[in-house]
Amino acid sequence: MGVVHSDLAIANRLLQGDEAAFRELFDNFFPKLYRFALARLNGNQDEAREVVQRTFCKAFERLDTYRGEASLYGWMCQICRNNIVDLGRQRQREFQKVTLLEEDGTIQSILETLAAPAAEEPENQAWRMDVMRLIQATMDCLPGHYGDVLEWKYVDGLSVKEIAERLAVGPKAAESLLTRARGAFREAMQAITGSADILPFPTERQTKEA
Amino acid sequence: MQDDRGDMMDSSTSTPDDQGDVMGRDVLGELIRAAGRRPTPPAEDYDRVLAASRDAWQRKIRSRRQRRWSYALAASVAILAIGVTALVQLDPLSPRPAIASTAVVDGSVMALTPGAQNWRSIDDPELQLIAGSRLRTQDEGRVSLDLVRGVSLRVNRGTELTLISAERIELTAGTIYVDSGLGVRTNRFEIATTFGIVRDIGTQFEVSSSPAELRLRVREGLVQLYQDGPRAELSGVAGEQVRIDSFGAIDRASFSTYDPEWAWASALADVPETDGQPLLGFLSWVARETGRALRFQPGAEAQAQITILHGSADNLAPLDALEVVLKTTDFRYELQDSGVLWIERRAP
Repeated sequence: MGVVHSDLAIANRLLQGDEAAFRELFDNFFPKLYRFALARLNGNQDEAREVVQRTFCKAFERLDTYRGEASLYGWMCQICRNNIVDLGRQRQREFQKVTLLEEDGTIQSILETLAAPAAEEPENQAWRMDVMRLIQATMDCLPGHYGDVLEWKYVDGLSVKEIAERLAVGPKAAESLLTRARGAFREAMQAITGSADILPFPTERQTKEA
Repeated sequence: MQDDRGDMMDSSTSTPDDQGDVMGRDVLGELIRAAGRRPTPPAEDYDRVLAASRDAWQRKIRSRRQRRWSYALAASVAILAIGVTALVQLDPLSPRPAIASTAVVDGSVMALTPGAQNWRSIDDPELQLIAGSRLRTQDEGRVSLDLVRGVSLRVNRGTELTLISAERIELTAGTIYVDSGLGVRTNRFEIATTFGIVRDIGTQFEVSSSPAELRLRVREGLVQLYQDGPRAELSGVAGEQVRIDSFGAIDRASFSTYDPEWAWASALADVPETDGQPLLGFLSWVARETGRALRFQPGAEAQAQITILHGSADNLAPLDALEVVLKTTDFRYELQDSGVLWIERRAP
């Protein structure tokens, strides 16, 4: 028997009619899938909403086929991708193939982009936005509350004590969770960019090929 | 070194540590800060998608229930058709023996028995906890169950589990405490989790399961976790905490048998009958429930054996019960930092 993802327990609860499991899943995945779709639909909010709605409906229809080989979020992202393709066919248009940064980038170029001066060419600004979206998408892919904990710490500036209070855990548990979240984020970024190390300082800027 | 929020920063080193800090810079933190807050979808989109998703989910649940009933009907027709004389009970109302009873209930605890449509309060006098019953403790709910094989199962807040049998439960999420008793048992008690199966080799331990990690804390005895994969068996011993996260990383640490975090389980302990019973038995129970070693002043143990108690200490946590009971005797107690519960005679 292969490794079974812990999300199988959530799927089983949903199939048993567990209302709390339904709300937990929806509240956790809806914003992440929405952002996932939005990035691939050129920022069209109406289409993103439609695709995400179809994704949830299809996921529930097929929930008893989910075997836990991957995370539930990863499984639903695949359904979402297929729905985006279907929408394109229905609307009889091809969504512009966007080479997303996670498919072609390095940690070095990310840091260089972040270090770029404020006055930039528009194409570099677009690249900067793409970098930021990559980081946010990576946080969305992390398990459990990892993405939230990192956002609370580094964007909202909450202390470990405040994070612990939000999660209703002790400070040690919150600190441990933060450490694991950072580790998971780092591994995910390395996996996406293929970089074996996070470089401290940007070297010469590289120009993105259009 | 602390940052301006008073949190300990990752230690600065001159080479990259495994948290991405280099030359004192928190590179990961900079990345996340620069990316900014993740955008949230519009509220009206949330409401629309929620309504449609709920409809789809409920349709799925209904279709599964209809299918199960259809299979049951088909099976009974097939059996009748071939003329089998032994009757198979498909009636969901036929009584099955209870495998657990409630000892202590605190707050709201719900149960769903096999075949039932709705969750019921565990206080419902008609509720029978049979094999296959699911339990859910709400945010303020906890419960202690006595299983028919002599195991005490305590369920903390925000926990959901299924009673598979008197020797096995499936822990969906949350925290439980198991006291499998002092006597010799031939059957092991098993807890199935998404991280593997936890089995006890006596006697007191806690299992906490969430999608992100499994945590074992052992107070007495030995606990084993069986998983598929390269690490087939993992053990935890008394005074130890073992954590496994969803990446398979294992973290071991000492965890005192009398750490305050065991208090929730002690609060659900069912005080034994004290009226007409020797003090020594009661003291042994308190020591066991508080994870402390019972020690006596010379001569005091023999006295405790022949001191008979009167009255009861029902509905009190172990240390509160100890306070109340000892006030009626010539003994006093001390909780020592070393984890000893010290008992001595009061000075005349």
